[in-house]
Amino acid sequence: MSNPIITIYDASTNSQFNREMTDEEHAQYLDEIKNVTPLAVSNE
Amino acid sequence: MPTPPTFSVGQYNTAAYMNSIGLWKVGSATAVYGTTTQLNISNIFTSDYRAYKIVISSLRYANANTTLSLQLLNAGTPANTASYDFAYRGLGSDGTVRDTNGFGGTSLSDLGCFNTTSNDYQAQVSFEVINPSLAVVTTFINMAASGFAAYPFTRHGAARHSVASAYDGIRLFPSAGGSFGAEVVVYGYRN
Repeated sequence: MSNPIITIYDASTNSQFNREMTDEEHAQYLDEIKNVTPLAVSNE
Repeated sequence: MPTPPTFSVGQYNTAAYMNSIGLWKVGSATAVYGTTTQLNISNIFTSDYRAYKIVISSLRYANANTTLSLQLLNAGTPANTASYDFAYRGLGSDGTVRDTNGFGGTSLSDLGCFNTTSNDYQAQVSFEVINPSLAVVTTFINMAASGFAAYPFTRHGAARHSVASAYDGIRLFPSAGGSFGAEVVVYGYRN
């Protein structure tokens, strides 16, 4: 199964590209969004 | 009022001149809805400028109840220790209080307004980042708006990253995961 996509922009070359997260980056990402407290309000 | 520089024919503009007259665009990036899960923006904070204005428009998230989260980057490595603090005042057009705050987060959350799952181009956030390229505490001043609601609302406030380190970029990602769309423009000012 493929990992999520990171879009990377580099201002020093003014260029942008996409790549898959590495397994380590994916684990770090999942850990990060798990730590976010769900919002208590909705937009309705 | 200081006298602005005069440009003669054939003279090219430089960051030094722009520092004396206004903002200088240092880069722009696009998160593609349906593809981008994280957006790394690198090499935007340099010794050329001390402060930066970042404007993010056309925000759209794959998941509801989502805000935009930020981490500072150095050579692609995120600052993700428990060191992000924020306090934002919020108000809906119906009078509902939308305040939010956090201390010691591993990312700066609630940067942008939320629930913009529709591609309606009505949500944006504009914030300033002070001293990110210096080995000092980085501070943020934030203003966010969401028009995608029965009652549109705003949030504004301040935040900081309390570790005294230098950074060259930012990482943006939706707090609830999934892909997101955004158009990001970064300006530098005040050398």
